[in-house]
Amino acid sequence: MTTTEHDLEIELDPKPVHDRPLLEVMGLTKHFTVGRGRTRAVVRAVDGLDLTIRRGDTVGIVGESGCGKTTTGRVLAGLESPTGGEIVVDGRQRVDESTRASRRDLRSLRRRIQMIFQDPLASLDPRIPVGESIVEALATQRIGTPQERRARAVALLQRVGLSAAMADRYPAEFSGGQRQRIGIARALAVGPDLVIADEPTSALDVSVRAQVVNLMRDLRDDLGVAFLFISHDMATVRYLCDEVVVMYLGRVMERAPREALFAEPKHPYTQALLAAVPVPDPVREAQRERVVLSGDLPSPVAPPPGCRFSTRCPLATDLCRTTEPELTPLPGGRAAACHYV
Amino acid sequence: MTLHSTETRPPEATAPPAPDATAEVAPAAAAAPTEPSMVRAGVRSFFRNRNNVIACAIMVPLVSIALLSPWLPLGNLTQSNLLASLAPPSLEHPFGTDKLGRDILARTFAGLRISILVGLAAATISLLGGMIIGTLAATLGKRVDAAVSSLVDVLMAFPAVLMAIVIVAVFGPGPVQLIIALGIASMPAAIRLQRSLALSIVSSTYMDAARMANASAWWNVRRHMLPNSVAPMMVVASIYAAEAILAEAALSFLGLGVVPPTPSLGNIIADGQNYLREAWWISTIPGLTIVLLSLSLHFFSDGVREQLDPALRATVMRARKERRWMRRSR
Repeated sequence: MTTTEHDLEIELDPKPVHDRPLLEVMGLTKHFTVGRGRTRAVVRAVDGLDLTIRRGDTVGIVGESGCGKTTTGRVLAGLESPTGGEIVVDGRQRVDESTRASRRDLRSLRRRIQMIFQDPLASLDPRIPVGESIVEALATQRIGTPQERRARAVALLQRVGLSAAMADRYPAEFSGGQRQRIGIARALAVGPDLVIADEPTSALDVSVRAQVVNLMRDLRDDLGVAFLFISHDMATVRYLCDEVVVMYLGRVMERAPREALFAEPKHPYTQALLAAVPVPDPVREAQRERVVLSGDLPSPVAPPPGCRFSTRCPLATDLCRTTEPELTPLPGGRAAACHYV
Repeated sequence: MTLHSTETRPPEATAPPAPDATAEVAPAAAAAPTEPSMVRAGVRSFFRNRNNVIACAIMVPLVSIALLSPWLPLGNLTQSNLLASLAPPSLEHPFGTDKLGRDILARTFAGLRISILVGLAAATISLLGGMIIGTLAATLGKRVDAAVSSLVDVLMAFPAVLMAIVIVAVFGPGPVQLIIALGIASMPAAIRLQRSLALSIVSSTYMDAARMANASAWWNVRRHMLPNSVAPMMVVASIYAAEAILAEAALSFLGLGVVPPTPSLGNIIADGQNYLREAWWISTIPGLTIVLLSLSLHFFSDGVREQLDPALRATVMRARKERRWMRRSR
């Protein structure tokens, strides 16, 4: 049967293992200009971000709303061009001027980097049967014959737990969880090395969330695809990610392997973030010490001088309010941007 | 705006309470749908919509009369017969005659043909022009968009009928001039609608997904933008057709459209207005025909809207299911 053949092809597609990181980001910035004339302002959505993703790794980006997580994902996916910094994909620097060469670059980039969107319904064209939406990525990349594309789309749908007959249905006929499975199948269609998942579970019911997260975990383990998992859900990140990057106002506050981060958060912001996650045990919940942040996230138009977190940090000193700390490596393969760790 | 009034209408109000199996997610229906059965399902769901049924009930007889009128035994349309002048409805002349003794039924049928032709052709012109220019404005960058938008704004400042009068004044009266005039007159509104539809599609997440698939601009337009804007555009196009039919009648009434002795619904009404006391039938019959025709187009536009939008269709289904559930629980 053709579908099983393609199933095999998908599963037995081992990603070559190199020491070279799959994606290296250095000093990435993305500034948006808003308003005109007197109301003109620059929003520093991402302001100097460093990130490394190795093959097969799952890196989580966490942070509260407005910290630049989504923008980071969109820039890395190539949906927005960065305003500064370097993005190196597999040893090759990405160029972002809209020249012919960069368009060819972008095309090969899109075979390597794919994206899963936050709102699964909005990410599927309502007028196109979902099978066709998966085929689209293959067709525009001119991969395979129409029959092969179709077979691969069906195989992918089956791989994410849907049936072949569903390929001819429209997005409106599916549930939220099913739609997100389709989104995942589409992202995997071209056989990418890295999938950027922008809050893929935040639009889903809690009951469905676990299924989708488990599916992503299975796919990662089976296919060796690296994931950049953008989320504000600490529980999911803890379950899924090998490494966690904590962002605040467009910058990395702390970066650490999962276990280390959750066991011993170094940066005060990370501590506050983890403290905000409720503990299921009421006795422990009542006993535990909590760092509660006051105030709102400062505006990314005018980030505070010195450490960005100094306005809300319980430990901030005069040094913090004047000098911005660099992301400094710490023992245990982790790093934090704080003067006092 | 006419579009607005149709958009705000609650879909449940027009939805027949019949159950619909096609929208229910039933993974058991594993058999891949074959082409003819899909067509049959489409036809079935088309006629399950009450608006479509009403529209068809009015439109099918009117259109078939219009199409067949040259072959119907209606006698000579323009030959006067002063002996039968202003004859009231009778067996020989079911809708009476006019001052010159011409049969109103025959003239109305012939006028209907011209009205439908003008309405459809004008709506097609504004639909095509609107979709092409609107899409280009939304996709070719800021400068093209600014140029098109300001031109559209200028044209929108003129009432459509006034614009049509200007065009007819320049090119002279006649059905072809009328079609072009009415098509162009309603085009600015069509351009504006298509532009806003296209802009919202450009910024949609599924276009981001298409960008991730490395789709070309032309691919995106053909595959995502046009299919997603055709439903709302069809909805307004059928309203433009109704407006064009009314405008044709108005212009012919004023002597700027179809010129006598060729009959059109508008100039028959104009003929009859001097005899309203003695011969009410002259103006009334074509008048009612216009009402029926434009009414059926409005029903059709509502029906198409509910039909072509899968998301809306799903909403209607859900509302029906909820209503059924409410009834049962009561």
